[in-house]
Amino acid sequence: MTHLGELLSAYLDGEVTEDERKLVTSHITDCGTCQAELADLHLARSALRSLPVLDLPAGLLDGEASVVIPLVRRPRVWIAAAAATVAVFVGVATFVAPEPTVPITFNEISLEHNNRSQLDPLLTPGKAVPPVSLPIGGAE
Amino acid sequence: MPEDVPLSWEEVARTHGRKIYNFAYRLTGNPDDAADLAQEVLLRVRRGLASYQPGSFEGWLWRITRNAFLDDVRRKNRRPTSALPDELDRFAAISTPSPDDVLASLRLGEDIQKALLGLPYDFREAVVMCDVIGLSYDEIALASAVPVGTVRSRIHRGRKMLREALL
Repeated sequence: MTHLGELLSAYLDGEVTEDERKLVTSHITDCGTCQAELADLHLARSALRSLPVLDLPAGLLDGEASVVIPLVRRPRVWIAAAAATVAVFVGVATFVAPEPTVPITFNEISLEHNNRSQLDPLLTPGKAVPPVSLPIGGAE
Repeated sequence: MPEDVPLSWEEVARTHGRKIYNFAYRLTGNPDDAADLAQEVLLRVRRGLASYQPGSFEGWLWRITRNAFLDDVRRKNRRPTSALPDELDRFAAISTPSPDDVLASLRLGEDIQKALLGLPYDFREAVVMCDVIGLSYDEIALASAVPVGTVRSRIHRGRKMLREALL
């Protein structure tokens, strides 16, 4: 007897055609192997669905009305490199200050992102996007 | 205006930020990396919204999320790590109703997360998109740039591997 394999997962998800659905319901009536596999697949799916939905870290999207994203700065090498480069070319003194936690603006994040892109050879060289201009959304 | 066109970056951030963070956390097992990735994705969305072509917004958004994750992995040149116990403790306190339930769900959740991190990337991504985020097979196919048949196969094999790991 040919077993159903991946059709069983699709059946669980309702991602089958009407003909496929009929095939599965008919087949599993007589096939202990596919019944057992369907139960295993159901268990795995239920396990994943039981994972708690995590809240966004505090502050990640706070203050979106003014488009300010509080960012917890961590002592990472790329941040230091980006901060140094930004300080040289733009003269933004706030990037140099080693504050452990400082709210920074969306523009600053964008600037830092662009700087990372310039430093990273994996990203397209010479294609840095200018910093995003504020205001955003309802501020116009 | 097509229904799937988001009104603003703020709306996308509010309605999808949490999902993006959960996706990132389930793939990396690390809350700091997940937070960094969520911010990176929202930046890319901010830049990309102006040129977004009406179609499947979910597919577009999750392709951005997926690419940001893969870029991050390449940049760091390392494999995603598992969460530390204290990090899991932090999350366990968010939505569980009683201490007993906290312990029970924490242990179960920890086991599932560890099993998930043991899956090869393509299969982990497929089952997270399907069973954690709730995307359809078509949306996963768009996000991952593979045929729907490949999505079906990855979800099936991913679940089987996860089941084996949880035995």
